[in-house]
Order: sequence, then structure tokens, then C-alpha cells
Amino acid sequence: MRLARPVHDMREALVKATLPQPDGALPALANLDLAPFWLRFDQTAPAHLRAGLWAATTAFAALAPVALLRPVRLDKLRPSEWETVFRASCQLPLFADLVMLTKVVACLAYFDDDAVQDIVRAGGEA
Amino acid sequence: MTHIDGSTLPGDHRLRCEVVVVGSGPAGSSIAQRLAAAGVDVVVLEAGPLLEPGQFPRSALKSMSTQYRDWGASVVLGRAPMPYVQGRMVGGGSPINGAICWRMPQDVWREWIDGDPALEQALPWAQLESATDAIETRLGVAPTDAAIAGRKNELMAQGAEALGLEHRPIRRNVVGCEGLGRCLEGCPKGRKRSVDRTLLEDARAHGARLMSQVDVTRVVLGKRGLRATGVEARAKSGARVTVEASRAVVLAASAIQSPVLLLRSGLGQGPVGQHFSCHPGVSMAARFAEPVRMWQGATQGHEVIGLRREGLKFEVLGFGLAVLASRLPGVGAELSRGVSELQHWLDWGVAVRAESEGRVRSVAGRPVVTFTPNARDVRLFRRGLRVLGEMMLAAGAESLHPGVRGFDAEVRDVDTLARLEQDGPENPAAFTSAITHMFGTCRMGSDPKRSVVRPDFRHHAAESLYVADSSVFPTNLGVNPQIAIMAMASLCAKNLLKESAS
Repeated sequence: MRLARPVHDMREALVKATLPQPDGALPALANLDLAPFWLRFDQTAPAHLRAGLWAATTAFAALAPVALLRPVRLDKLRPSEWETVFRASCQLPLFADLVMLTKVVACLAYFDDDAVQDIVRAGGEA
Repeated sequence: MTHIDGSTLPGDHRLRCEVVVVGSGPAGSSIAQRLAAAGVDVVVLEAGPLLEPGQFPRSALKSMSTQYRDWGASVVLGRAPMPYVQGRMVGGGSPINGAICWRMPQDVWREWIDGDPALEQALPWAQLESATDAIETRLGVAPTDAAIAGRKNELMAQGAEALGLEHRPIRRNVVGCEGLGRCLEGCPKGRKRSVDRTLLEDARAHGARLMSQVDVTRVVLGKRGLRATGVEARAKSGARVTVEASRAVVLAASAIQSPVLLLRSGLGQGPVGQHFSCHPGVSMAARFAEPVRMWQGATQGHEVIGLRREGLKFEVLGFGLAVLASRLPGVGAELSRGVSELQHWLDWGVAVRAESEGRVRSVAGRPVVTFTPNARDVRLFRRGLRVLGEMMLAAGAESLHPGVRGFDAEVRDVDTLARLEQDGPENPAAFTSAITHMFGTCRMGSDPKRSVVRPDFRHHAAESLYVADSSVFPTNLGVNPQIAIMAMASLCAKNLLKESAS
């Protein structure tokens, strides 16, 4: 399944905002090349997982303008705006499963990177 | 040793043998070993790939996408949708499980006999014990070595000791373990004596042929009456595979896949797919002031067994980094802070011997599983989380994160844990849970209306068809089942040899 570019960009923005910037020697998810991850995800992830992430992207895309009181696309949000959107999602029970799924996807993407694994296993966290 | 890789089969393929075994996990490998050693011409079919330890990936993502069915995220439907985990490689779940070994509990076996006395003759306790002894010897089963246990396992021992709960190092099928904590992605050093490296290897040494990356689509029935004569399959390359079996077809494809295969083959007699039983588990994340480095030490090296008769068994968990991180509280900046101090976090889990039953159906040829924990099971979720939390606090945890919706996100004292047990949610959907062990969907028994296979593992309706995996278990076990599955399959092989000789 190949996503339209804007949908892919919003999906990637959501995943990167979910786990933005650990401290210490660990790199930011935003600085990692996620292209190999998305290729594997789109080709091999079970349909319900792909559909779940699409649903999360759609839900956050709908929530962001409401939480920020202005029309805005997910891939244009600043870090502080993401925190506002995440805080708003915590008030909505329907978002709990979507946030959990997004956390799983973000962590899979982040720890797929060999350098991240090496740093953590060597005890290089903050 | 013959191995045919279904991903590279150029054209349609036909094989002839005496017995075809569908599935190469603990059941399939055990039965193949015993039959091949007796001189039977065996073909073993496996849907997943044949992987060597040097090919096991380090990342959870690559592991889930190559070694697990549906990324280990197949979902049980019901009031509380939850993932269930199945391996999909040669060896089934054995190369990628926590290596936990339990003999069949005699009290569970007694429940089976009390429920259907005809089982006693087919499953004599002495023969089960004897088969188990042989399997444990071949797999090198022994208690976890304290030298490689790691801090997460030591802490569970401390917590259980403080609470006066019976606990012990987990008995595992590993030899020379270095405590790399990578059992769930497959041991990169090949130190786990999984069935692909033991029983299946023995079978292949005796001439059994292995075909990987082939999905069996149906059991072929003979023209005269209901007699299984082989199977049809589709290789990953797209080639059609036909296996003709002159003596027997054995299904050992799991409690999910075996009933679906029967249903797809038009063998819907008896309660096939019904009585799905399992061990749903819940887990607790905890933060310790000291670095505990959950990824170091034996993946799952310690267990608390003092409440097994209540239906609760506690284990250290061995998640990879990605899964551990995804269980941390918060999202965005808060999750980042948690990941920054990942070495202070660990997860322990409790498996519940669920009373509730579900069902496996075949929808468009694919399994659809429904299951909802009942009120008693949910009460055990709450009790299990309370005990987990009390052990963690006793071991020095600063804060606990039970992951229960509608309850405190963070817990720091035993009074709150008591409140979780007494007044926590009754809705199973409130709990972060997952299923690992599944049983009962082709259960054995003497009454063809209430069972799918006979006490000697033969299908009630179709001749020469056997089911040998945990789907035949009349109930769940309350403990990790891989050794019991192998022992039962060994008895199935013995019966098959006796039956087909006569």
C-alpha cells in the first residue's frame, strides 16, 4: 500500500512527535532516516496495525485544529503545539488506544536503529 | 538433511511419504522425531522460514516481521481486544520464546481424567512422565544459572521472599547461556535448545524431509469415505505443493491454525474451534532508583509459583528495548524522558489461568478468534497486579505503572494496590493484556459430540488424521506449555505407530 505524500508526512510527523528527543547521547527520532522502517511497515505489517496508525493520524489531524484553535496540518506543528495536542488527547478516552498504538510504532521505529541500540545497551542514556 | 525452501520453488511440486506433519513447532518436531526414529518416512511442512542463529535480528521490528505471525500482533476480538503471539518460523514459537520449561502439572492431568476417565488409558501418567524425562534431557532443561540471571531476576526473588511467596529460578532449555536477554528474538549464540535445533534436527538426521515457507491450505480426503490421504499447500514462491501420505496426516499447527485447517477442509464435526482457552497476561512497569537494565541477564529467569493453584503465575518479562519503551508512561516529552532513563525500568508479568472460553472461526479461510475474560478472570487480573506491585515495592521500586485505564496512572504504596484489587475496574478492556498460550480448539475426548479427536489423538470422523498440538488439550494448564505439548505429541506418535501397524 502506498500512501499519498501528505498522509505519509502527517503519519511520520505524529510518530516523530510521540518520541521527540531523549536526553544524553541518544539521537532524536526526527534525526533518524525512517525510510527503511516505513518500507518494512507498509510491506509487512498486519492490516489492522496499518489501519490503526492511519486512524490515529486521521484522529490527531482532526483534533489538532480544535486543540490549537486554528487550522493546521500535523506536519507543520511545533513541539510545543504537539504537547498541547497530546494533552487534549488525554481528555478523550477514545484516543487511549490510538496513543498506545502510536507509541508502539514510534518505539519500534526508534529502536530499529543500530546506533540507538548500541547507545542504550552500553548504558549511554542520560 | 533434506530441506526444500518454498520461497524458491520454481514450479508445482509433489511429494510422497508415509506421514506428513503440518507444523514444525514443539508438537510437530516432537512427533516427527519419534516417527522418523522408528523408521517412518516423514515430511514436515512449515509456513515460516528456516533461520539459523546468525540470521536472528537484533531489533524487535525485524524480529516481529520475520519470525512472528502478524508481527506478534494478531488480535483476539471481544469486549477486550488483546494481542496473541505466535511464532512463524521453523521451530514454531520455540526459537523465540522465553525458554520456560514446565512439566505437565499432575493436578491438571487429574482434572482431565476426572472430566473424561477414558483419557487415563490413552495418557497414562507414567508414560507422560517418561516422555517428559527424555525431552528434558534432550533439551538440556535446568534452572537458570544465578551467574547470568541479571538484576531483574534477582529483584523478583527479593520481592517474593519479602512477601513470603514461593519462588524459584525458571527451568529453561538453554545450555551455556550468556545472559544476553535476547531469547524473544532468538538466541544469536544458538544457546537455546529449541526444537528446531534438537528434536527436529534429530528427525531430519533420521531422514525426515523439511519443507519451509509453505502454507497448507487443506487436508485431502480420499474418495472412499473420510480418510485423510495428504495435504495441499501453497509455497511462498506461488507454486502449488501436494503431499501424499500413505499412513497418516498429522496436524500440529497450533490451537489457532489446526481448527481453521479442519474447517477449511470441510471437517467441522464436533466442537472444532470451540473451547478456546488461554493464559491472558497483564504486566506492571516499575521504575527503580538503581539501574536494573532489563535487557541484561536471562530473558526470563525467575518465577513466583506460590499462587499457581489460584490461577496466577508471575514471571520476569524479557521484552526487547522497543516494547519496554512503549510500556513507559506518557507521550511526547514525557515518553522521551522515560526513554532517557530506560535502564531504570523493568516489567514483570502475571499469567492468568483463564476460566472463560472463546472460539476460533474460519472467515474467508483465515482465523478469527473471539474471547472475553469473565468476571473471575478480571478479578485475577486485579489480584495479580496487586501482588506484582507489592513484590516490586518490596524489591525497592520507586513507582509503579499498572497500565489500567480508569485507575491511578502511577502507584507508590501498598494501600493503593489494595484499592486496585478491591475497587479497580471490572471491565477487561481497562487492562493492558496479551495472550501467549492457547489450547482446546480440537479437544480430545471419548464423546464425538463433545470432542474433535479421540483420546488417542485420532480424529473422530476422518481416518488416518491426527491432531497433536495444544488444541487437543481439554483445558489450559496454568503454566508454560511447551514441554507438555512435546510430551503429549510424543504419546500421539506412539499411538500412531501402534495404530498404523495394526
